[in-house]
Amino acid sequence: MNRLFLLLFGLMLVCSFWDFILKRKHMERKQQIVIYSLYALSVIGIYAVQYQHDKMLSTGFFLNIFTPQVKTWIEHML
Amino acid sequence: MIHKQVVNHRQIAWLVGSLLMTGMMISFLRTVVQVAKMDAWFSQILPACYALLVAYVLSELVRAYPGKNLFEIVFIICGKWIGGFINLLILFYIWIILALDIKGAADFLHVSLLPQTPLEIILLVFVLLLMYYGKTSLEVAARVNEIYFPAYFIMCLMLYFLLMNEYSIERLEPILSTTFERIAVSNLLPLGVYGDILLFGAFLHASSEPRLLFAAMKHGIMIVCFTTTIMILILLGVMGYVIASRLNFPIYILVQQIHLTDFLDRVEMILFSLWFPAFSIKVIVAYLAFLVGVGSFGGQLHYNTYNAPCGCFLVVSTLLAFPKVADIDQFISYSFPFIVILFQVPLLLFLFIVARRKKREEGQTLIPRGTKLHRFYRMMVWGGAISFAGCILTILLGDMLSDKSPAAGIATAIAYIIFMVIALLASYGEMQALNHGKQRLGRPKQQGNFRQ
Repeated sequence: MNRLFLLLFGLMLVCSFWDFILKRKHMERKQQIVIYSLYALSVIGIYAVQYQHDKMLSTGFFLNIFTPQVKTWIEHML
Repeated sequence: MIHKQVVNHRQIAWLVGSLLMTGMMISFLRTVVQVAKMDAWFSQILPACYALLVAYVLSELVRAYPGKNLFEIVFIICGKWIGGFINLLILFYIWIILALDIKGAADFLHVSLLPQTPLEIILLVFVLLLMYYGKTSLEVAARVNEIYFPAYFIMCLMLYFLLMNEYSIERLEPILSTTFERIAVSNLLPLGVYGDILLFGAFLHASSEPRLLFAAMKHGIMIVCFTTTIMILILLGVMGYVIASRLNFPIYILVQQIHLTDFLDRVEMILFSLWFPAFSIKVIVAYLAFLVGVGSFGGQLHYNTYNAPCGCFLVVSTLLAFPKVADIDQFISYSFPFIVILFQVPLLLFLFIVARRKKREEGQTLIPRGTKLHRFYRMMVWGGAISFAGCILTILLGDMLSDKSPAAGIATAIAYIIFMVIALLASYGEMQALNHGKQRLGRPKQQGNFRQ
């Protein structure tokens, strides 16, 4: 992972989260839960990318799970 | 927070144009050419029909639930839990579109233009651009699109003249010589891209005139259908199907073939500088739809507060999605049409049935019957429908009845193009007639009064 990217993204994440912490008292509880969830997913995601956990559980494989079947079906049709 | 905004019919049509057309230009056309070979340019008619059906369902939803967007409508119909689950699925679908576009554009820029710049940095900068527009609304994106889309559209049509010295009609011949099965399958593959029109569901509250909304979306779809057909026609005429089906970025390589003079070099940069803003608008619309969807869960009509967390989430999730360039191509060509059929068709069918069953007040018609404008409107509607049906019939008759001779093939091709041009012009006439009717009724600014 590029270090400059990590620095910039980390800064962006920390600054926006700090901004949220300052403003959260004016927000509804539902809204706070949604925003907390998004930040939690972002932190988990960046951890997975940085320590290459995505190699064990490949997202590319899951997103393309239908591709071989559709491809075979098309080849069969043609 | 309530915002008064105006998105007019022309802006909707051009936004649909940007939304559907620009995404196809990176690498998607390669698979269509691989399947249908030299007849790949007949591949846009069935997806356009599908997009028209989606647009019709969306306009029915506007009629049944005025002032509500798709997420709100789903919550109203299905309740908190089931509605929440369906909305999560819609959000996941929008995330797929965003991930495809952001990662696809970042990969394309990294491979073709910025090989020394890390992929992560390109991706981060692109998401920052989205976040900048995320602070605004659809209206801003629509106005920016009004600058770039016409220029992009004209440049696409001008490609034929710019590449005239490289073009050879023999590369297209014999026309309609591939099997009907291949043409049918090539018509199924773009369904995924044309399914992106569902994104407009997030902005249904922008419209109060369902008929005009449908006419505007129809015109946008016809622009896409016509322009993409012409682009594939040029691609095949310049490169032939063998080369075009093996290139990762066929349109980019096509534009690189422009050699007007010895001193005018790298004309592709000019075209790229028009394509990229138009493409960015497409991704911005998807991002705004994502924000509206997330906002519907937070119980807030004003989605600015979700901009930063959604931006951070998108950077990370798009880094995780589609690790290889080939994954994007495989997904958009094979999985995406399947997902669209599997997800969109039942959802839209359900929403259409509910919208038709809901009792509603019949609003005043935009064009009073018996007037000259109404006769013109009817002529445009029927002219467009007949021309569109003519396109389909031309392919069917050309494939089944013609003797596969070059003359019959060329006659079929000319008939197909003429029908398509008539359908495009008729859709424009229909949209303009409805807009004139609206102006005459003295309700010029009602459309577009919507919340952000």
